[in-house]
Amino acid sequence: MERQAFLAVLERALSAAPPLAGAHPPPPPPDVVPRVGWRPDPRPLAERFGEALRGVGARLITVAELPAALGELEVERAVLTTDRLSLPPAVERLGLERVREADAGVTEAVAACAATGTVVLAASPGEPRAVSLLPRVHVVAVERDGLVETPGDVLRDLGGRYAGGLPSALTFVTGPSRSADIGGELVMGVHGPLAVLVVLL
Amino acid sequence: MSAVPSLTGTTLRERERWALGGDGRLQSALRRTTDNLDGRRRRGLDELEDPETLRQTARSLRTAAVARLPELLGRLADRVQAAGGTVFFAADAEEARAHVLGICARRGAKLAVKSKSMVSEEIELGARLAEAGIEALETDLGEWAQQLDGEPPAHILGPAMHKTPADWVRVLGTVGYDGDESAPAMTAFARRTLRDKFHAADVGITGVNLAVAESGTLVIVSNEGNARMSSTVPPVQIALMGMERVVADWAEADLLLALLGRAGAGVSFPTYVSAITGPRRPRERDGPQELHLVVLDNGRSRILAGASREALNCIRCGACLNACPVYRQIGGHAYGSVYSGPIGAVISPLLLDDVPEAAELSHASSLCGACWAACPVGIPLHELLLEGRRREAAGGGDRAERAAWRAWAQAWSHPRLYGLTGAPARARIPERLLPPPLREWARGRTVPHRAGATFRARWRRGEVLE
Amino acid sequence: MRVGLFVTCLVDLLCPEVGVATARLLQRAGHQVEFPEGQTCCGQPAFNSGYRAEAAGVLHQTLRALAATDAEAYVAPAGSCTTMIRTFAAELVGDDDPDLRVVAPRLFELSEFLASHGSALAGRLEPPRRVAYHDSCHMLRELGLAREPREALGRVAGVELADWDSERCCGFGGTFSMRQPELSVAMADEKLRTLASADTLCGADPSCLMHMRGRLERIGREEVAVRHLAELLEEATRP
Repeated sequence: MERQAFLAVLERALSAAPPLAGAHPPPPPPDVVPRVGWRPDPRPLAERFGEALRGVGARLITVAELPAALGELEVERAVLTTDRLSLPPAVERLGLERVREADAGVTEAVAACAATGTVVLAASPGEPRAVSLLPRVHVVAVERDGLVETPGDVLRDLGGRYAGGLPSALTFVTGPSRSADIGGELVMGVHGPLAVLVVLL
Repeated sequence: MSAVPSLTGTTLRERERWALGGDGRLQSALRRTTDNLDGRRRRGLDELEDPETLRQTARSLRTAAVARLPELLGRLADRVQAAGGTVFFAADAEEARAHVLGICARRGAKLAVKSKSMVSEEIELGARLAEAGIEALETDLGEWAQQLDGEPPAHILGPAMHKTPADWVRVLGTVGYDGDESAPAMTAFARRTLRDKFHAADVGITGVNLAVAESGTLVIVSNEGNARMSSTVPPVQIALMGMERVVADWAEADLLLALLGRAGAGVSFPTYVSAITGPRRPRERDGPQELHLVVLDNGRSRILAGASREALNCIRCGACLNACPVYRQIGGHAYGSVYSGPIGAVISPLLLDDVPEAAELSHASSLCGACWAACPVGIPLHELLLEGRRREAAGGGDRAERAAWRAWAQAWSHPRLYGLTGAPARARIPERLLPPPLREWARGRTVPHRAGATFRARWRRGEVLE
Repeated sequence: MRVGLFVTCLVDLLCPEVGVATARLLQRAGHQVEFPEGQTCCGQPAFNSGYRAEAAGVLHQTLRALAATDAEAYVAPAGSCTTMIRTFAAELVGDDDPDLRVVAPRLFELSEFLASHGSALAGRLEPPRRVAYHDSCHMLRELGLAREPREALGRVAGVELADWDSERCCGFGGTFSMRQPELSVAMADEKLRTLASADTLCGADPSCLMHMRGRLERIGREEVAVRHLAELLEEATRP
């Protein structure tokens, strides 16, 4: 259907619409959408970030802990899109075109949210979407000053952060891929990574 | 249990009997899943400072957005196109299917991977693609199992929630699984099997949870990652959205995402929130080369034109299903329509206005209001169910029923006639002689009868006060 | 206070003892109780079935009868019928209906009224009971009354409140219970299966109680006493 005709149908529908059913009409919308208020938590952001990551089955580690963590997860081959982290000698670095063969993908986040343990990834020529998705382990570097309180702090500021237009894909990742579809049992690593390691720089 | 009954040719009561007539496994699965999700919803909301105010705000904002749908959809389309995507406005299911099919044909597609999309179920896209020789593969674990088993999904979030691990082994066995009932083993099998399909796919088909008009961005939520896969690996992405899913800006999206994750799966934030603005850009290595958005009406403008248009505020979280005592007994399939639970009972009669059997779905509720209390955007679902019943009665309804209510109203508008009709309630009538409505009551319950005189008779005789 | 009793059709015709208990309880709380005799029904059965004109006719009759008494307050031993008049009636008769404007602001559900005009009522139940209180749907979600009935029971010595699935709908739902009896009964069973530790099932809506009593009797669980809140309070405060 033509766009104009489609929208005209909606215009007509709205112009003839009766009052809303029910005894509880909604209040008028606020002029400014309120922020999603979390219960206050006085602890430092990094501490809460670590706790939230544990809560969603991810881990917050230091640069020094990375080699051991990769070893535990039996990572032999990895692709890497960031120069903020380097791979230990035991791990072979593959070119980006071989991401399907990699055990781990190492990327960098543009922001992270302490309350939820969320890391925010932006697609670009240097950050292909697949690196954080196809390998069974995702390692992501987060700059300390990229750490904010909640997803709202990032979402509500997207217009300011990307004044020239949003990236083709922004992905908010909160822990490993998961499903409880089989008998209600929570299992990690369905289509995406089964382990997420976050390195706070 | 026997095959899932279809809506046409059955009554609601027949389908309820079908759901209740099994061995109780359906009900124990429903109990487990809905209690788990509803409990998580409550705990998730507890993290927030003032969830009730947020809920009311979300309700106002959604209502306002729906009231300006033409403007928001126009802006969304402009921005999606500016980012390099195409937008198609589909008046009905057939237009949407034909458009999707056209894209697939142009690309010579043989395999389409689908991540969960209620709209694709609504327009029966899978069957249509299959007719055209295109394999349309569900990739959400539960949806995949349902597809392999030839059953529709039974719940928005847990499509296969009624399946036991043994059922899973049987179903996955049809595609080569030979392991035991271990959920991790079955999940690993699914990952391997579906991963190959993702790489072979010509098209990825996704739903849209929210579309942000301000930036022309499609927001797609998943926990398994199949929506990410579908929007990363195949060369073409087709995103299907109900026309009501548009929001004005990111502040509104923020509020709705905070509520969606909590209300649906009881998480502070969904595992994956993909915000997609156009296809891949020059020099990007992955993401679709083409991004096509299909905006679907298919009866929604009928809802928009009526008193139930708050139903378009729904963000498809599934919270009302989990809270509903009726859904808890009969599950999703007994509704006979793609959308089940309280929201389904509200919108299915409106979306399926050419299916007479759909009208009575508004009776799939005791009007208890638990759905309203659980809804993250405060839709007064119990009142919209009442509105559905009003519409059904106004549209003619059942002749005998109308006559009975007329007679009742005549009598009970006069105290004396009321007194006369109420007098026999004292008698103990043998069940086989009971009039029809009471005979139905007597299935499973003793019939109440009054002990002694009516209250008003006692009052007149001065027996009430001390 | 001069209180007009809105007993509801169900109480009048099927369980007058609940009306008697309510009247006596209000009397013991020091009120002057009146019964507007022209009242019939709030119209809810037809309203819930979609037949609004029919519901409005019956509702009009009841509103007219109640308003004619011009009581200082009206009290009903039924949360659902109270909700019908306070919340939904305006959809049927318009919010400018003169009778509705007299009645709706002064109409209270029994425990709600006692919370402000009867809190001195205290008593004792002998022998003591383990009471499962049922939150009826309209009363809980539309009127927001969950604390009031429990506090009224809490003032009675010998009442211990039992933990159970109190907030889930019992499956009555008006004509729903006859239109879809299998489902209605399954919902009752779902709720009643959590009742194990109580000897008394108590609620403030006669309709839910009638449904659950009917089910308990049919499945041979007559040992559970089903009592309206008014009946328990009346028994406890007998002089």
